[in-house]
This record gives sequence, structure tokens and C-alpha cells, in this order.
Amino acid sequence: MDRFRWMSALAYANLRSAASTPWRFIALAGFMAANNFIWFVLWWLFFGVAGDIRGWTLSDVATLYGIVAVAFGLYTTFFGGARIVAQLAVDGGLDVYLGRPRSPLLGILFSRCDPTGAGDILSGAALIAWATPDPATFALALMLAALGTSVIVSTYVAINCLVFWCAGRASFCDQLFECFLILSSMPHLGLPVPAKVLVYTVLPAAFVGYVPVELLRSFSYGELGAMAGAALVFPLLASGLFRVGLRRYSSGNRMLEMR
Amino acid sequence: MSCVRLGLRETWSERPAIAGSILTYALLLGVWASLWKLVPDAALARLSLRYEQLVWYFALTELVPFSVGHCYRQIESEIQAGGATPYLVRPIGYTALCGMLELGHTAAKLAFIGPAGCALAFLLTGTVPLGAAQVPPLAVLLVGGASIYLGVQIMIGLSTAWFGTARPLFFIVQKLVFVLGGLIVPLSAYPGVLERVAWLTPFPATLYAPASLALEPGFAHVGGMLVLQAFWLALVLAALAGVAGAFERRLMANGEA
Repeated sequence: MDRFRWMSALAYANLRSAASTPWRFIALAGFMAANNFIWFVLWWLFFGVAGDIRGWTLSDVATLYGIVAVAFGLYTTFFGGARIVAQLAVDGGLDVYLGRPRSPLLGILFSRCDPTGAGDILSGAALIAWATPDPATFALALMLAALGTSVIVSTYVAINCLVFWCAGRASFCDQLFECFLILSSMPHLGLPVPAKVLVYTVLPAAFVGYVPVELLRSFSYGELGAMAGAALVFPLLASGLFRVGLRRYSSGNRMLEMR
Repeated sequence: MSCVRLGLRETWSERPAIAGSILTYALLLGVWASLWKLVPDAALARLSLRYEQLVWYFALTELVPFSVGHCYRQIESEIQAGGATPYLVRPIGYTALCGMLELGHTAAKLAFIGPAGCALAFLLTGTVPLGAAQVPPLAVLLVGGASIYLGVQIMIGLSTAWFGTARPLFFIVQKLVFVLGGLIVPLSAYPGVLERVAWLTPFPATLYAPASLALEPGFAHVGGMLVLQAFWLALVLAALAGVAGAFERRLMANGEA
């Protein structure tokens, strides 16, 4: 089985497993969608006071929040294992994946599926549909969200790889990822220069929501290239970091465990 | 009290997580401060608000959710793993034990994040909206707000016994706390209907009550907020006692989720 068929098979198996209790799947997805809509009320209130900010209106923030929600939903639905890399490295669980013939990182990424992701995808798509003027823009926004998923997954993997150098800091990794997500879902208007550098490099939150919306507001091939570049470069960096980190990993006590 | 002390010690031993919390808090405050800075003064003046007030207001509202954190998770995972049953035979019930432990965690986080948040708000605005006399009531209101939110979260955690998971319920309630509690925009600037709905819930007592001191530091307002908090705290504790009783009865009859 080639790599892509294997990845598809893993994703399909995860989805089937998550949907094995349909009412639970639907309820969790529904709750997450409601959660996103309630959160959006805060932005509505903010723009009710502020009017518009540097040309950004409520519909731009709806697009931003929608793109981030779709990207995050795609991550939790298909690459949910990114969340557990640190935990596996700490408790020796990586052994299970190291003993397999396929890439351990891909195996981990495709090992979890969270049903709430479907709610994120649907609510995000609804927000984008509300805010975008035509189907072509809607389709472009979804494509940009898919690119954003690549940045989210690779950032989470890279952050979790920190435990290879400072063991027992899994909670710090989660906090850092939460920082990244918060930054992703906000318009980066009026940020000081050091913060701007941060969101385009170390915590590349700009590529998840802000850059895609700027692209939709005024299309440029340069920005699209930067977006595609980020979706390619950050996974390579994360995968490289994981490989370097693995050299520091030594457990070897759960090699025969079956999952 | 020993449970509270244990909670304090546990939080202190997780210093990297506290550092992460402070970093997240600072980033969030920084981003919102830069957004408020871009709002024209005229727009704020219409609501009798100023940039400095709004930054301090947000610095204080954010303190409560950051101090309480996601404490329902611990209860959820304990119930899912069958860890609550052994507490049935102990002299102090499971809910009381969790509550005291989490109160310790919350107090420790408040003690760390609070000064850092106030320092950052001062750096961003160059002003302090309160006098020394308002600091003790502010501390009481922050602890009171955090206690109400903590009580709500413990009830959400206990709901795992019925639903098998608490996460979806938590997300909804958390967002309701943010919206109806006035996390970013003060309740006084809400549209009329939404403001009236908000005051019917306990959420303004969690976030708006302490943070509104940045907008209105007068002692009449402080007294009003203290009374409001006392009312909702009593109600939430009564509800928590009811849920805890139902939880223990369910545990006795059906076992854990």
C-alpha cells in the first residue's frame, strides 16, 4: 500500500471509529458549532462599539474566524494525533509507532479523530459563507483554510517536540499551543513590530487566519505564494525537529504493545 | 484547609505551566490593547469610556478565567477512570475535596498572574485606575468571581456522570460566561436586551463585578458588586450541593460513567 492510500485508510478508519456512536458524534459537533457562534457574539459586540478598524469590519473577522475554525476542525478530525506527541514522548508511547514500518510521525498524526472537529468545520464554513460575497471567494477561503491546517498541525508538532529537550513540560506545550491558537483567531492590527515578527516566524499564527483574510480582501500572487510556502516549509521544519528530537528519545519498553 | 494548601503547593510545583499561562495572558492582553488603541476616541466617548479603562477592564476580567483554568477536566477524567468511587467512604466527600483543592490552585494562580497582569496593564496604559483603598475590595471581588466560576466548573465536571463527557457543556458555558459576563466589552456598553439578559445570570458576578472597578471605583458601586457576588455565590453553592448530592446518589446506584 503506498503512503497516500495508507494515510487515507487511517483517516477513514478514525472517522468510522469516531462516528460509531452517531448521536454522540452529532451532539459533540453541534456543541462545538454552538460554541463558535456564541464566541462570535463577542466580536459582534466589539465591532458594535468600534465601528470598523483600519478597514476591517465584522464580516472580515467572520471570515477570519471561519477560516481558523475550518482549519482547526480539519486538524482535529484528521490529524488529531498532533496533540499527543509530547505525551507519547514523555510516557514512552512512541515505542508503539517506532516499531512500525511506516513513518512514526504520520502514524501518530493519523491516530486520533475528534468528532468536535466536524462542528468546527461546519460552523466555520457557515461563517465564511455569511461573510464572503460569492462562491469563488468562498471556495478560495476553504482552500486557504486547508493550507492553514498544515501550519496548525506542524506548529503543534514542533511545539510538542520541545519535550525532547525539556522533559515533563507537556503542560507548557499545551499552553504555548493555546497562545498560538488565540493569536491565529485575532486580526493582527496595530501589533508592535516584535509581535508581528513572532506571528510570522516562531509562532506562525498569521498564516492561519490573518494572511488568508488579507488575501481575500485584496488578492496578490505574492501573498498566495507566501501562504503556500508556509504550508510547505513549516511541516518540513516540524518533521525535521521531530526526527532530531527522536535521537534524544530512549524508552524501549513498549515496543511490543499493540494498538 | 490542608486541601487548599495542597492545591497551592501543586500549582507552585507546575511553574512552567504558570509561566505559560502568564505568557498567554500577556499576549491576549497585548493584542486586545492594540485593537482598543485603534478604536477612535469619539466612538469610546459615546459610551463614556476611555482606552486606559478598557485595557484595565480586560486585564481584570481575564484574570478570573486564567486563574480558574480548565479545572473541570480533572474531575471529568477522574470520573471517566472510575476514580471518584473511593471517596464515597471517606469523611470528606469527593465534591468538597475537589472544591478545596481547586480553590488552592485558583488562589495560587491568581497570586501569580494577578500582579503580572496589573504590571502589564500599567505598562500599556501608564495609569492605575484604582486607589489603594480599592485594592482590598478588588481582591475580594476577584476571589469571589473566581469562586463562582469554580463552582460552575465543578458542576460541569460532575455532569460527566450523566453525559460521559463534560467538554461540550464546558465550552458552551465558558463562552456564555465570556459573553454574558462582559469579558471584552463592559456590560454597560451592551445593547439593551442583551444587557438585561446578562444581569439575570450569575456571569456578571464572575467577570464584570471585579473588572468594573476599573470603570467605576466609587464605594457605592463596590458595595453593590459585593452584594451581587454574595447573592450568586450563595446560589451557586446551593446548586453545587444539590448536584453533588445527585452525583453521589447516582454513583451509589449506577457506578461511574
